[in-house]
Parts: sequence; structure tokens; C-alpha cells
Amino acid sequence: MGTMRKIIISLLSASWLVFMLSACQGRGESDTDVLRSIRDCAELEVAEFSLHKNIVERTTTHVLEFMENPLLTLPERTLILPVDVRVVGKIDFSSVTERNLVYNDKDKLVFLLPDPTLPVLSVVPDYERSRQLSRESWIRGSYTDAELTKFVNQAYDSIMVESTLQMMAARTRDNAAAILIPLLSDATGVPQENIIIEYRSDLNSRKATRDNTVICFDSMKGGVR
Amino acid sequence: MKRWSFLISLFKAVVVVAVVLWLYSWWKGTPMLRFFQKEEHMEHTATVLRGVENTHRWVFLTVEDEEAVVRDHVGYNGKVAKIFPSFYELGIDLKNSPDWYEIQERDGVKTAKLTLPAITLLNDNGVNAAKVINVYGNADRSEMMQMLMEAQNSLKARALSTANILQAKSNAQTFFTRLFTSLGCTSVEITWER
Repeated sequence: MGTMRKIIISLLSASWLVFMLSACQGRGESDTDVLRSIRDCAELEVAEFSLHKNIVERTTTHVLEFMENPLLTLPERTLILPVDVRVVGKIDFSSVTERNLVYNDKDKLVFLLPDPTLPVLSVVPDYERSRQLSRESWIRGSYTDAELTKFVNQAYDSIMVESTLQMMAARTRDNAAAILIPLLSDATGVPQENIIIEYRSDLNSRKATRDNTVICFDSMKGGVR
Repeated sequence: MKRWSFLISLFKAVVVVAVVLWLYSWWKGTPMLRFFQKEEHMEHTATVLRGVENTHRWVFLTVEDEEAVVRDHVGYNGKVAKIFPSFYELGIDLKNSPDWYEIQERDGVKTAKLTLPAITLLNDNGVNAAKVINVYGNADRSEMMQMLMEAQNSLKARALSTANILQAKSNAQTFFTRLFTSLGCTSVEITWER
């Protein structure tokens, strides 16, 4: 009987040890925890869009609820928070190589423009103005800092509408062409009428993704020559 | 004695009613009594495009950083602490210098001469208010703005360090040399404005 008990105890302790070891293994540092703070790049910024949004939020607090029927309700607290957002239209030149320049016959030059990206550069809420606009008091309840940040974050997530994205991408390309055509013409000696800035028309903005601060378009497969 | 029995029967009735209500609410899947129930409702508001500006800037270095700020707050909760993440871009702004390049051709040899303005911060407000981490405490709205300014000043100073400016400069030199060489220029000369 004594040996049986010893075997059981040793088995239990062994399994406990294995469990502890496996728990320790997961504690390692993941790659996402380390930010690469300084990054080299070569990007051309050609347009700046200033967007504005008024965040409106209302909270009703029921002091007492009986079977989901409110019996006693506090006056509603309301938040109006104006937020200014700046989005920049950019073209990344780090992937541009000589393959993007194509000389056609008849002395024509074609430049393949990379897809534009639209990063959000700043989100500035006007807290001072918000204090005058919103309705809060000791009985209604006031907004905590965490709540305010949460609402700004929600607005930031919803600020990008598909139609706006399309318009911004078009504007960015037009401006880039206006800057690049004289530059290419002067450097290569090809007259300005013979320079064509070409870009992919099958830009898939429905798949626009927001990765940290960068709003970018998914690159289509097989679209590039 | 009669009064006692009356009270006991009243108590029994209350217990029976409570149990019945509790059973009913359990069957419906809702709690019977709730205190301080918050209903938050975010309105759907439009996004307004206030303006579009044509710019001509080249970005050569981006700096991501964060700064923790603590402030003494007058009130029962004493102190406020926040962490501000930031994103700054270093580069050159060519809007006010339209003649930044000049191409000279002598005996079939092309030389590009660039005159570039000094490296600056391209975005003035690099703190993203949507990503601020509120560690503890609640601040007034004016205190919030002060903390933001304090964080911004030190973040800006750190982003515009000499090492970063030199790095951005060398990136710019490499990039423009590559660009004009691939466009057919033999040599590229770059001068920086003070």
C-alpha cells in the first residue's frame, strides 16, 4: 500500500513539474512587444487632408431597475467632442526601381506610379471646447479620461469612409503627377507631352486596411506588368 | 402572540413572492434587480472634409516614441499619469523652393545640382490622442491639454536630435543620387541650405 501511495505522489509531482515548465515556456518575449522606433524611408507627400468630426455620446444611468424596467433614472449626460484629424497622401518610393521607367517607341516615357498610402498623421481632440459643449455635472456623472480616449479611438476607427478614401487616392495621384512630370522631363530631356504617368486602375479600396496608423490599399496580385 | 403570527405569515408571503419572481426572472434569463445600470449610446455623426492642401515634401526618416507624464492633481485622487505615443516624420519641405534642382549638360555629360532646405519635422502634432494610455487618475480638460503640450515638447526635442538629422540627410543623399542617376544624370551634387 505504501509503495502505491509513493508512486501516485511521484506521478502527481511529475505532472505538476511538466505543467509548470510548459507555463514558463509561454512567457517568452514576442516580436510585437519590441517597436522599431527609427525607420529609414523615402516617401513623397503630395496632399494633406484636414478632416473634422463631432463625437456625440449619451449615457443614461438607471439607479434602480426591476425586471429590466427602470424605476429611477438620473438625468442624461451628453458629450460633444470635436476632433480634428489630418490625413496625408503619400507615395512610397522605396520600392521604385528602374523597372518602373519604361521607354516606349517614338521617344515616349512611361512611369509606373506605386499605389498611394493614406496614413493618419494626427488626431487632435479639442477638450477645452468640449467642456463648454457637453452636459455633465455631479448628478449626471462626468466623463473619465479613459472613457474620453475610448470615444476618440472609436471615432478614429470610423473616420475612414470608402468614398473619401477613393477621392483622397485620386487627389494624391494627380498631385504626384503634377510634381513628377516636370522633374522627369528636365532630367531625361523628353518633352512633357510625351511623359505618361501610369497607375493601376484596379485599386481595390473595399479592402482598405488600417494597420496601426497607416491606411493602405491591398496590392492586387498579378496587376503589375 | 397574534401580532407575531401575523408578522411571520407576512414574512412567508414576501419570501414566496420573491422566490416566484426570482424563478420567473431566471426562466426569462434576466436579473430581477439591477442597480446603477449605464446605457451608453454613441451617435453616428458625419465626417467633414474641411480642406485639402497641396504639399511637396520628402520624408526620409520616421521616429516612433512614447513619453510618460505625471502631474499633481488638486482633488481626492492626487496624481494623474498618462503615456503619450508619438509618430514624427523628418524630411524636407520643398513647397517654398520650386527651383530645387538644376540640370546642366556639357559635352553630353549631365550633372544634377540640388539645393535642398534643412531637415525639419514635417508633422507638428505627432501625438495620436486616440492611442493615449491612461495609467491612473483623472485630469481636468485644461490639465489634459497641458500634459499633452509637455509630452509634445520633449518628444519633439528627442525626434529632432542631431543623430536623427544626420541619418535623414544621408538617406536623402542616397535617394536623390539614385533617382537622378537612374534618370540619366552622370553626377549629382547636393548642397544643403542653412
